[in-house]
Amino acid sequence: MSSLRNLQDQCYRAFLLGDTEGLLPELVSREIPAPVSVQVYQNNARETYRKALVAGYPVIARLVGEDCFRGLAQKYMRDYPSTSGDLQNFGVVFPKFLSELYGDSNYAHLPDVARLEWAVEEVQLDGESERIDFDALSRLDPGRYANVRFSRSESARLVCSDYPILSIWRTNQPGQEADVDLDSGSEQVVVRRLEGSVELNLINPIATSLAAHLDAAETLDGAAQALASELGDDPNFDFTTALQQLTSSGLLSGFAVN
Amino acid sequence: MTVSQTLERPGPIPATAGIGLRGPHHSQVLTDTPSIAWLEVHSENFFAPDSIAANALERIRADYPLSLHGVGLSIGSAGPLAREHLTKLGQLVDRLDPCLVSEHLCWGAVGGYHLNDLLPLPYTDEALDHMAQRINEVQDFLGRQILIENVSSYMEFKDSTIPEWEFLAAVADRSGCGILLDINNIYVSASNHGFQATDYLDAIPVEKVGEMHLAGHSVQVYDDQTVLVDTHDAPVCDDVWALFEVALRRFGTRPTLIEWDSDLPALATLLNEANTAQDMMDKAHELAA
Repeated sequence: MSSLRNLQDQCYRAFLLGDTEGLLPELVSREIPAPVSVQVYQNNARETYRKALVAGYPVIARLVGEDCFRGLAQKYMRDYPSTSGDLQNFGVVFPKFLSELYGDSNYAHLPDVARLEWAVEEVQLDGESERIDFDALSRLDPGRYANVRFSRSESARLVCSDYPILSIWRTNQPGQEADVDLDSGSEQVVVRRLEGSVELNLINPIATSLAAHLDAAETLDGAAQALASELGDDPNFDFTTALQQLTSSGLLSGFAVN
Repeated sequence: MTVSQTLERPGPIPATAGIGLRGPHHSQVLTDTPSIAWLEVHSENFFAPDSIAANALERIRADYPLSLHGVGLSIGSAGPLAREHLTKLGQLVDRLDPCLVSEHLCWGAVGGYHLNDLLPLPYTDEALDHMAQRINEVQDFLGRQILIENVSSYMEFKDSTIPEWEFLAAVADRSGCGILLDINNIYVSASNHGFQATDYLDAIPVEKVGEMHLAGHSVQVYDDQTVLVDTHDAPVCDDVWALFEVALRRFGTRPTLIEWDSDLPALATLLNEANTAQDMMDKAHELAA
């Protein structure tokens, strides 16, 4: 191992993991004592990663408060150290991290809210969502509807939760003040980018199930039958509404006919 | 055919004052097209080619000369060069055809893990060989010269045998890169390590300097020890303006950037800082004439 590699290893251990034993003897204590040098870089690391996470997860930061978020960021940077020179990637496993921390607690909604926030981040980096060609769909011979196969948008995201994640997200935007009842039910959210703006749309659980069947490359007829079999006598079963939600939310972006 | 061959874009960057462009100011720059000679952005923020930010920058690029300033390539790291990162940088360079491309005299990753900081190297022969070779690799890959910027530092290694300014000059000489001289970073490091900032300026070859940076820093206290930290969250301080004046006398006017990253102020504040730099550059130009 070169001395350069060895020094860099020692810096990593000191600045990220707090193990300063190897680095301190390598530093000059002249104007700045070596332990202070280490503190400065440790502080820089904590602040860099905290700011990167706040930028991606402002709702989580607001929900847990500044002190708690600072602690979460510090634990996260050690548990899931950055593997990219591009800080925009740093928060990618933060929802998983929150799930490990809070999955079975009174804060079990936090990982799902984080997944929604990361979806918002991702669609800003991905391309514009494709729009389904409704004109072409309307011109289709109704006799061929049964054999239509829909394709899912590559840039839209579906985030499903047992908690009212969109309500939480909306009421925790800057300037918003409102409490959300965590027991008010599940929410399924489609996140997409349209004309340079991020759009979040609720869809119902039946639409979510329909999307899963369509994902399995089933024809519209096949998906409808599978859904009917799955839902039985559910009075809320409205196939047309479910399909409309999937197309208007942007989750489905194309179709083909067998 | 490359993008640069298909589009006519403003350039080259003149020896005037520019500003660092950050996300919150994109829409205002697009709407108002403020009077500023050139812009610099952090390369990594535009790696995703279809992102909202990248779309905005493509349009901004049509009106302004542009410089790409990387903060994550970690050229001085001992492990293999981050090829994926470099590839994304190359693609960005192809898309935007920037007038300048710059990186840092630093390292920031080890063993596949990143510290996402601009960390100083030990100034040794080993590090000099390594840095010069790596810069050559980057320049070969990009097919162009890059500028390398000195960083602020808060630690010194016992192994160092070469003054930082000599190290930087030698890196530029051996790799053929240019130098992006950050005046604030020189001031911060000089204050933290007790050397004369003017010694630094005097050791840098005039012809190598392709750009200068000006920024604000903060004064932090650790265990009763005062440390200047390069936080880019404040106006340029009087001492740094004074050092810039010295630099102008030595190097003449160069493209000079106002950098501000944290606690970002209104765009007008950045433009005012750039105007101050421009006034000093105009005065220096008159005196030299």
